[in-house]
Amino acid sequence: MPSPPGADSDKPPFPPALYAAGKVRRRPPSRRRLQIFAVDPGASNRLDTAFINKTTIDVPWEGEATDANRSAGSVREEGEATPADALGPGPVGEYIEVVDVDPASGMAYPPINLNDPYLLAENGLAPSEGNPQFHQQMVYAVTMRTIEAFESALGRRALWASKRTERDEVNPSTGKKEKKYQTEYVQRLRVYPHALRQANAYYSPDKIALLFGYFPEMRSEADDSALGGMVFTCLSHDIVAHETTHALLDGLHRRYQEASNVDVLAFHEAFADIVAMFQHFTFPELLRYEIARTRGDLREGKFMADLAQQFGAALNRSKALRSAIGVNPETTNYASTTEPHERGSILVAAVFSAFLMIYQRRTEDLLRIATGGSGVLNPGALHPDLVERFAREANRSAAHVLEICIRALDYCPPVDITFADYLRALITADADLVGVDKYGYRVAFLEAFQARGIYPEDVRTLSVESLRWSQPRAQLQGLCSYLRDPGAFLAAKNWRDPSVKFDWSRKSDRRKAYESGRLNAAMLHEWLAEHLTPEMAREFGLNLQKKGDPSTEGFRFSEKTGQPLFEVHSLRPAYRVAPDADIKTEIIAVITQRRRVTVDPNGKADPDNTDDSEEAFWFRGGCTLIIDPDNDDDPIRYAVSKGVMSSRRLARQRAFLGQSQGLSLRSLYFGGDSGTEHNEPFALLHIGH
Amino acid sequence: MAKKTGTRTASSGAAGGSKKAKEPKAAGTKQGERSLRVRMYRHGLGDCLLITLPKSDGKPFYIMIDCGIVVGSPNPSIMEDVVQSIIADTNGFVDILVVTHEHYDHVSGFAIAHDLFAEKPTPGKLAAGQVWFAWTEDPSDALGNRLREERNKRKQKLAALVSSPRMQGASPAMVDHIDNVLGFFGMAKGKEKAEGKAKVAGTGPAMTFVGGLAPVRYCRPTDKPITLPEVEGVRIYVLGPPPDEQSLKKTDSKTEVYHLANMGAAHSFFMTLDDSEQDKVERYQPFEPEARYALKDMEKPGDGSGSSPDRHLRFFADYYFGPTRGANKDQSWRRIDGTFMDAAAEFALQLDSATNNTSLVLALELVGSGKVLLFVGDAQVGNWLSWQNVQWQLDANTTVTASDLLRRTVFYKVGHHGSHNATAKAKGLELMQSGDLVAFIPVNHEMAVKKGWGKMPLPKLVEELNARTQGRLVQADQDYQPPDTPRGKAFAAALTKGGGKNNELFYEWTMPMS
Repeated sequence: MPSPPGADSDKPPFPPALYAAGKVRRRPPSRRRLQIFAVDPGASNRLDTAFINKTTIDVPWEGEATDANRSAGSVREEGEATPADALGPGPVGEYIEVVDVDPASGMAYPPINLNDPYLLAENGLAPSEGNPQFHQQMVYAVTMRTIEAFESALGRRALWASKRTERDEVNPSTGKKEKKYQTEYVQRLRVYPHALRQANAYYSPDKIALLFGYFPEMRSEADDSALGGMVFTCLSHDIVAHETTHALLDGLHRRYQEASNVDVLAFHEAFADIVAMFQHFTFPELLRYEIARTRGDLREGKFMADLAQQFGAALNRSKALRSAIGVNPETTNYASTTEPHERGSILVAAVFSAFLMIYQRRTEDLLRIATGGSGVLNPGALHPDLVERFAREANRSAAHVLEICIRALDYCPPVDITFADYLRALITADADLVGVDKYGYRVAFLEAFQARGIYPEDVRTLSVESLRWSQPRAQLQGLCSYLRDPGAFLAAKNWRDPSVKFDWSRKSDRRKAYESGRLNAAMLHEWLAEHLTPEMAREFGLNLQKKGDPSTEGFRFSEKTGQPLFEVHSLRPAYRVAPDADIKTEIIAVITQRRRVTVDPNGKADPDNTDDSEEAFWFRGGCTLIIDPDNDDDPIRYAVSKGVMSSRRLARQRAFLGQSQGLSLRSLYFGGDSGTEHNEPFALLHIGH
Repeated sequence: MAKKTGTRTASSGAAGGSKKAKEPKAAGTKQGERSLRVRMYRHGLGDCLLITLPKSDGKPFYIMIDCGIVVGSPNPSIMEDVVQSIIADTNGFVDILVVTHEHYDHVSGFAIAHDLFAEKPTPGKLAAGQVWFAWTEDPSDALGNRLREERNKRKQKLAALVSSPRMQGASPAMVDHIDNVLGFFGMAKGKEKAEGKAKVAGTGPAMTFVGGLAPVRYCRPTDKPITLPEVEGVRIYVLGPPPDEQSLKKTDSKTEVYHLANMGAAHSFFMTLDDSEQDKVERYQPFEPEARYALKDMEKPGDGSGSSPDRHLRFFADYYFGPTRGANKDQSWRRIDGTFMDAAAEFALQLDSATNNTSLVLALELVGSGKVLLFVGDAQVGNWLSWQNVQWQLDANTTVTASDLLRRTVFYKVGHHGSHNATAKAKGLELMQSGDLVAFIPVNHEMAVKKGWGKMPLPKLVEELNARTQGRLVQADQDYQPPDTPRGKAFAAALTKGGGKNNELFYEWTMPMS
């Protein structure tokens, strides 16, 4: 308690240092506010949407790149550690680098400096189609916002896929040529806002870059006088968020690019669209406008469906993915739809329908309060306060659904995902974090998926409880103590540096997070190679029988153990804050294995010959382990596995490969031997959509 | 009557042809039983078919469908042998000459064997009573004109692209692939090429030439079933090409078709070429001159002055042109210089598909037995699906739908040389439920492989056809091996070889009319 003034008048009431101007260290702001188009530029030209089409969103603050934190004038060192708060012209920040070169037009557009005082004062440039620097600002803002959604839901820093280089090396012991892979950390996703003259935008896994196209609207190719305005895919919030999600998902589950069953590519597409859509529903202006227009009545699910469908309609691109929204689930056919976008649309519709149920449950009481208990609104416009409250609930529901959907990724199998796996992951992820399901989120998901025929075949009953992944029968005794102190074991193994510890800290430096992730994985591999018995391995979807066992055909072997090789793909921590403020720490281990099999069920494949890609392929299996590092007796909470020996799955994949053989005209004319020319799996999926 | 064959010129083509095929009088195997014949030439990767129907007076009525071989075939002048063979066996006159669509592998024979055609019956030459085209070729049809115009422009632009130095940014394999697709228009290395003895090059002149041979009928799906006055008991239905642009541009089984946006994209894409109309190039620039730098000017290092252009130069050096200092700091793997060129492949495919979709599709119905023979040209998905929207009112009580016709199909000329996208599944092959189904695939796999089209024919489709026809599937480049069943043997007996020196030029199947 400071003394009352005047009680001791010859002393100032507070230490003078606190008043000294300039000594108070001010913290940088936590957020940067930037203007974007809320829908897409087309909506600005319609009177009913013109006034809600511009919105301001905030993204995490990245400060100015000063001489102190970046060697000025020097050529940048790739991967050079930049302080987390530096944002240079481009914008080039911690996560992304926007590089606006346009080879198709033979042009380059000067990079925007978002730390320019004029721009800081006005929340960046005002939305404008004709200014390429605004385009740079918008892709930066939307990409950062999407990254943030991932980081907060997953509880760790987002990492991009690493760069893989492949080269042939002669194995000195066998004298055979072998493919060696090298992986390299990639700090930033590169973003090219004007890369293509095409109605297309895609994520390139090879370049770890987003490429956006642009094109003029036109009525007829024969008559170029009917040239319309330029359409830029990088100015559609949903397209940018969609592509960023592809990149983030690829960083997390690289194998989801491989179409091993009919759901995998559809999942990639649908998930990207789910993120884009629910992120969009967090814009309050749009929600307020739509709720006022439709009087908040979502029971038909129609207004939100309209809203969802109109986004990106100008590009005719996301329409396919959202075509099942608002459609009676009985008319969608999960069993027989195989085209990735059509199939993806069923998943999008299922999640959307769950969202509507949640929103409805959250607003029931509001509606009753506002209507004197009748639940029936009076005719006419809604009271603005009610609009505001409805919008807030919709906003909150959307944010929660988005978070659950992203968090579920940690509970997905490492390979060969199906929609039913995703449903189980959603339910497990949510149940783990939120013990009591007050608003019935999990039931809503179950109901929405079940209505569309998406449910696992191998559970006895269909309920929230039975859909939760179960604890494995095998436990890895001693894992926790190893995770706490690996030193003794590693020393016995002549490990390079036996003093090394598992590093779970939440790094601000992503490169360190990447490196410690790899080291962690290597350490776990060392331990598993000794402690994982063949019987336990089977529980985890792996095969560790000794060489010579008939089941090991098609595997490559470890020279040390004589067992089939396996890979600890990643070992990463996840910190999550539950709504009840409980902090959960979990460790997620991804272990994979592969074996070479032939397309022909009776064939025999040679694992050392990978040139026979027409007849043989890698069949992958493995598991995602969710580990509770504090539970010494039963450290493994869940083992989400896909058996590498599963004959049912193998038969399914063979049948699928047979069907998809030569499905497109492109694969007829351009495929075949020169398939390597087209390493852009997402580019092809996106054309015309 | 056999003497009449003496009027043909000394052609080696038909020497040794089957006796049955040469017999012009009765198109039947036995006296009194009328029958028809379907002949598929085996000259290479291309279509040429001849149907022989019995006229009411017992004389034969000929329908010839297409006459072409793919560009770059080792022996294009084999088309002369093919035409000679037809002249010999039809006595130099086909009643109807059908041209399904403007692709080289369907029309090049008209250019290569140009001199063997005549407007009036002439000894040693081939004349036609009528020429049938699809409505899309009708010069009085506005949509048809626009589509043809678009097709031509797209073709020229792609040709310019293939020979353009700009294409150096793209991969050489891609250039080859596009060039092969352009081969369907008789082009090679961006140029129209005259093969064999052809005086004219490309597909356009060939079409014009055929159109001048005889009165032309432009066929539409809305036409009433066509009856032939001379031939009793036959109705011909026009199933495609579809009358709407949407279906014509639907090329794959995906839900959506390439649409207007894509057209603008294509147009602006081609405006990147060096020889594009310079006055228009600026209109396709996305931004005003004040907002941009020329990319090539950005490759220089900055002058270190710290001025705004200098900072921009340094930015692009750091983040694009590199390489940056130090080991392994190469960033060329992330550059996108030629990436936009990948779109050319897509535009080439669209062109090809859109042309295939203009294929004239005919179903020939034998009224007595209800049996149907289906000739689809190279129709792709959009064409196939559109048949579901047409039906024909025969009389007050009888309506015929495409599904009916497919169900009664006993002969199917497999579309697009057996590639996957020219035989619809659910709305196509799966409807062909007749136990009598026979299928012919005009294809030459070896040539297709040379073109880089290893999946032509698609093994899966061949397998499926084999199952549906119970082995009565004839592939032009293979000797037919009948399955060891009574029905298989019966079919083999009705299948004859003929033409050429060793009867290797065609397969012909004879089936009873009733």
